[in-house]
Amino acid sequence: MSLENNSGKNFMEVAKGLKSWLVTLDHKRIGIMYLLFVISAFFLGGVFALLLRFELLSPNQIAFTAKQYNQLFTLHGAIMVFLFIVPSIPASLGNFLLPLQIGAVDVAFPRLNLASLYIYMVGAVFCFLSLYLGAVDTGWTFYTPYSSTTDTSVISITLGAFILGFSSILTGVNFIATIHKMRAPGMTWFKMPLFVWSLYATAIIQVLATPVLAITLLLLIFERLLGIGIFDPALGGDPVLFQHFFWFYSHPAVYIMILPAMGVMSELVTTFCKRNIFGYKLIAFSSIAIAIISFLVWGHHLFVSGQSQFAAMLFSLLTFLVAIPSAIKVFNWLSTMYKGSITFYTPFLYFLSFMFLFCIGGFTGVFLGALSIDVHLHDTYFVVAHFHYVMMGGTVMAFLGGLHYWWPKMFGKMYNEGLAKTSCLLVFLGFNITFFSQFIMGSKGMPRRYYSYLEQYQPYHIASTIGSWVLAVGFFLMAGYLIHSLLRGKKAPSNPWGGLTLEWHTTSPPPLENFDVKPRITHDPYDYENMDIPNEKGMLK
Amino acid sequence: MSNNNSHHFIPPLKFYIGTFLALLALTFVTVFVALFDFGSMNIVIALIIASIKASLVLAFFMGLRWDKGVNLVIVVSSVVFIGIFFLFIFADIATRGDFDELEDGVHGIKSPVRILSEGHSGGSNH
Amino acid sequence: MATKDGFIKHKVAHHFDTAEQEFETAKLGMWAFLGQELLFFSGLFVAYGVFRFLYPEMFIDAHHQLSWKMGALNTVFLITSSFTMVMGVRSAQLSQKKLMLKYLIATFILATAFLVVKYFEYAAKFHHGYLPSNWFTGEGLFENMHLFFGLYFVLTGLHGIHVAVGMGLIAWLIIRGNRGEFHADYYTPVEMVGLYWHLVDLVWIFLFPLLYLIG
Repeated sequence: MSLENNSGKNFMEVAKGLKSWLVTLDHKRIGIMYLLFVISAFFLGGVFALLLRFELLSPNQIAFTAKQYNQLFTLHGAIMVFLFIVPSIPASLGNFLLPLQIGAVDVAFPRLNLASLYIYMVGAVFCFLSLYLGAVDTGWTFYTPYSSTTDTSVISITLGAFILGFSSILTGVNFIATIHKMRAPGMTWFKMPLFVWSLYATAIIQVLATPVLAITLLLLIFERLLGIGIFDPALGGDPVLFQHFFWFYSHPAVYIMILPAMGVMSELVTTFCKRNIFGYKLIAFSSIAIAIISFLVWGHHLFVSGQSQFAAMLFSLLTFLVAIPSAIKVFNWLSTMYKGSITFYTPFLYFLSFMFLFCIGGFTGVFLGALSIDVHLHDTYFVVAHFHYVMMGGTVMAFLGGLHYWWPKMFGKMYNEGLAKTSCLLVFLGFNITFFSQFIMGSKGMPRRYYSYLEQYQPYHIASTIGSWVLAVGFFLMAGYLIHSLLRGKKAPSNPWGGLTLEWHTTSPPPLENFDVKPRITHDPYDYENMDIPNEKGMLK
Repeated sequence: MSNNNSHHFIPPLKFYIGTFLALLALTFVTVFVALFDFGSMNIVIALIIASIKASLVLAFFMGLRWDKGVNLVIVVSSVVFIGIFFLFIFADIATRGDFDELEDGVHGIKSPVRILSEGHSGGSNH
Repeated sequence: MATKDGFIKHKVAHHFDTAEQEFETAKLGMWAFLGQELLFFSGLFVAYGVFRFLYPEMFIDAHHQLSWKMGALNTVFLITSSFTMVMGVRSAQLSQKKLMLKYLIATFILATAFLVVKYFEYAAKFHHGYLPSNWFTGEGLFENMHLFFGLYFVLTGLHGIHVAVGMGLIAWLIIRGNRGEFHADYYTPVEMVGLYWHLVDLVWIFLFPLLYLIG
């Protein structure tokens, strides 16, 4: 498409109709389509979560049989991990913002970008086919030997996850090439926004870890189809090997989920504190450090799986290393806030939620990394609470923060700030009620993934379920005001929050090729002392 | 059509022919040495030869010798992560059961959980 | 639109500033993709390593069922095809269209030869029942011999799929090259397929001694 005759039109106005979206090569449209899909996946995974929380109100059967319950938590996990959280920030917000933030016209390979979206859709189809063919009851981790013997449709969903993996790999390849080669003149590596750094670290993991998931799932499929036997003890194989293979991807994948969230955090804290980031290089390098360390710690998922004690000690030791770069980031954000002129708009409330919840999630992660403690807490609700504090309290909060922060830029519309704050509060409260009670019952020994439980755990389960309802109310409120914003929202200014990074230099929504004039970068990305805020007159006061 | 905007370096032909001949020779060598038994060194020798062949392909056929450094970084980091993958899995596979042999009566139990004898009240009295 | 020397001029995509940037970006993306290919195959090599470590005698016994001669022949085919591929790229860089097409066709034929040899190998295994456990009927000293053949079929099968994909890509290059799309100013696809093809060769370089020459 050429630039002619498009002057004054934003990227949504240049072409209309369903077809213009389906064949688009514009990273912004692809990002928005991804956004639509990941939010739908989040909704679906959330519905499954509500259903299984409902069943857990009582130790006896309420609505679902034990098998259906197993299928529910498997689908909740698989959908949330593979369809929602892995692509959530990188593929939706990342796709939309990466070229904008580095001053490029598009990502390096626009066709590949669209292909990865379609591959994602094909993968999703296979996942949902599994619902129809007899939903999987293995848990999202597909552990052998159960997964190689159960009569549910393991092949369909693993094939789905395999395909989704390729979508993720192609996004990673695209981002690496984009960040290396497409930066605007003057944008050196240390003038890139930190969100870009985090996407870069994420892309490294996507490219280097995801193929191992692909081969693992392929081997599982072959195990079921051909009986190659390498994961089946009855055939001389080793089921623990499956866990090694699986977590070689899936532990780094946890950082695919959290790293972009950390990038969003760096954007939020600078804009809403109007201060230059504290320790830019440390934050940038800690992203890369997390990406590398993430490959060294997977064995902490196998502490009670029968791996050798030597390996367990090694992995336990290395696991503690992750705390260092994570803490560096948290302390730097905190220092950035110090003496900042803080404005409490909704995105910043999500920032604060992240700080609070991620710290709890992170610290409990350190407990679980300690070998002796993990033996007791392994596979209890303590672990469930821990990773929900990191994944939902971390990634989802940052995703929502980013969504609210860039919403005006993406759609050119404002949302109702009061409702948004109410919703944020409900989500925060609901989240803590749901999952803090799980910390308590987990530390008292309630095992995860159990259909029934002892009477003494019931109060915690009831609290957790009520919390899930509060969460749901918060999310439905959010869906309401966001849809309202799309339809009737006030027109957004180019720079409502007073951000400095390049996306705020252009209009909301941006024109087809992002910038009317090719940007030239002279300052650090968050240099509030020496830079004028772009498009300042529309800024919210 | 002019060549004026093409600045790509075209390696001399001798590199390609040399690599090709070296690869054929090394294939012969690896088959030849397989005729002799060096015990546990067999696989080491085979892997060294294969690695030399792979390096030749990477350096000359794939042009890494003349290429931008970043592409080399990608290959090296892939190899490093493959190394981690191997090493850590063998840190488990090769040491299973080692520690349990120190305990009475639990030989061969490949479990990281220490089985306490009966009557032992666990945890508190170390 | 063909110019008078029979080549089609390449148009740089709108989001790149120069042809050089476009080429370098494609190359970096390709290398990143090859990095993931390496990690993809590494899982199989790790599985191979683990079971060879656990059952060394079984591996030695099982590998006698493979014909090292066929393996060596295939190694020569693939190495030669890598050479013809690199010569094809070089011809494209020098705008030698006819020569490039010849080299690409040679590469394609060598790849076909590789798969034909593979077919005869597979047929022999099928005939004697040296298959993954579901169909394993072969004879051997070890009852878990099917593990070796499970790995053998997955390793060579996935590699074979890569060869077949590569052949498809080479065919695509031949069609486009015949139209005169590749020349000194634009040969990115030739270069990229070349890199992919060498990777296929690279994997085989390790597969050959590990499967056929254990001893």
